[in-house]
Amino acid sequence: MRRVAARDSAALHSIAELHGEIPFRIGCRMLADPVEAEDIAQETLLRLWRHADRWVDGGPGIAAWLTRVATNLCLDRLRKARRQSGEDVPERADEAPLADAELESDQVKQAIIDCIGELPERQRASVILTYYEALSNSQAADSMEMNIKAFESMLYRARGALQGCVEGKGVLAADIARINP
Amino acid sequence: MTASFSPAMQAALDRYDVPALPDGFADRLVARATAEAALEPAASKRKGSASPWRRASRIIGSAGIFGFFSATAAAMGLFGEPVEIPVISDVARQFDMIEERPAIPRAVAAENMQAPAERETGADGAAADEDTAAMTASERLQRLAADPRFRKLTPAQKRRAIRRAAKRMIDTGEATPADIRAALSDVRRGRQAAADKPARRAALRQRIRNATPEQKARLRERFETLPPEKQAAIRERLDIARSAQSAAESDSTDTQAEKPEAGPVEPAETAPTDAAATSTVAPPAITPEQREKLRERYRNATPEQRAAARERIRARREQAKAKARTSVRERHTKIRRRRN
Repeated sequence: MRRVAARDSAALHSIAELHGEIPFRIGCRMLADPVEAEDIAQETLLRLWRHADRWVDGGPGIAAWLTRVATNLCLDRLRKARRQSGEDVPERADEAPLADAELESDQVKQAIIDCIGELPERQRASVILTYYEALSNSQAADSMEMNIKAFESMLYRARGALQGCVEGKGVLAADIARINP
Repeated sequence: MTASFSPAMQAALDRYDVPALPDGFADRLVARATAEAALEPAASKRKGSASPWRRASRIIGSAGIFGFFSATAAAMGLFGEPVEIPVISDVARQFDMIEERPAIPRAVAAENMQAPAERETGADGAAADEDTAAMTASERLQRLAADPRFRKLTPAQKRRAIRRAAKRMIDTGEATPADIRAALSDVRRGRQAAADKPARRAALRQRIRNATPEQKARLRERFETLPPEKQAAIRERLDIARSAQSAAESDSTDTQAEKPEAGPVEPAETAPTDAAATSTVAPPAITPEQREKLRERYRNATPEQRAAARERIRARREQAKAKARTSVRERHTKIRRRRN
């Protein structure tokens, strides 16, 4: 980080290689759009570059910082999109041609994408951080700048809603068993 | 974390994989970072005006500062006469940045607020009290309004003084509110008449001047029927008017006398050598016969006598001019003194 603070672009390059995946993954799952996710990842790492001179050693580390910033950027972007459209952000249709062999598997994936997309922004973030990014509840609560109790309560509601949604799509039992015999 | 979901749900959630980070992501990021670093000074300049709150506060602050400076300048008299602005003027006065207000002594105001008779004490007090008791409300208020110290007051102070005097009269039972109302309207009428007086007098003079001999004779008859005091007062007024007129005429005669052939001026009479003759009093009026005689004497005078006469006239005129200048200067000094 000291090298980044000294405006060493090679250091930024190596950080991007090492940790660039984290904001990109969060962006992908939060916004369901790889292009926007790359933008989020770039913005997150650029913030690290800009604020490197204020970096304090001994904190939670670069990964935690990137997680926190990426989550907040995604939440901001979702809020902005909702304000501009006046309704929920429509999920982007998967335009990739689907091979017959992967059709069923993709149906499950699409159902999960839809259900995660239907969750309110903060609930979505709580599921992504705890399940996909494997953060503890307290780390995730820190990343979202929330009280741990409030976070756990929100996560509980998010899990219930997600489960109900996926079950409602009818893809949970039969298709999973078929995909993973 | 994963324990919270059922295995089937976990299997379903695991289907949601994300693509790998695009190739060249790090290179694009570094390129953007270096480009931004190059533009940093310009960006930091823009940063200052980015927030609408900051912009609004700057505009409001600038307007406030502009208003404050304008008010201060007005209070200090930079735009002409100093304007009285409540707090700023007081502060500026404290630091001697502006002059004190034209002093209207409160003591005078307070004195005027009392009925004139109340102020009088001593041997004449009782007589004055009797005199005042005999006066009507209208006379009292007129007397108050005629007091020179009352005239020095501001309109608001005048109103207050009149209100107090009226209240006192009502409280002591000397007048009823109706009397006071009538008295106030009398005072107002009197003030109006006083304001119109010079114009009316000028019009009257003009009418008398243009009157036919019969009308003049009638006027004379009416004058003779008037009581002697009134006749004396009118005569006195006419004398003042006449002397002013003759002074103006003599001025014009002096102007003519500068030219040798303009008319006769006896050096000994027109420009007496003693100080009394050159005093500030207007020269006495002369009759047309006297003027003719003077002209004759000037015509018969030697060139040296004429030159001496002209010299004396010039000296007298310069004295008059100097006096006029002094009186203007005195007036200015008086105004300045009153302001301080």
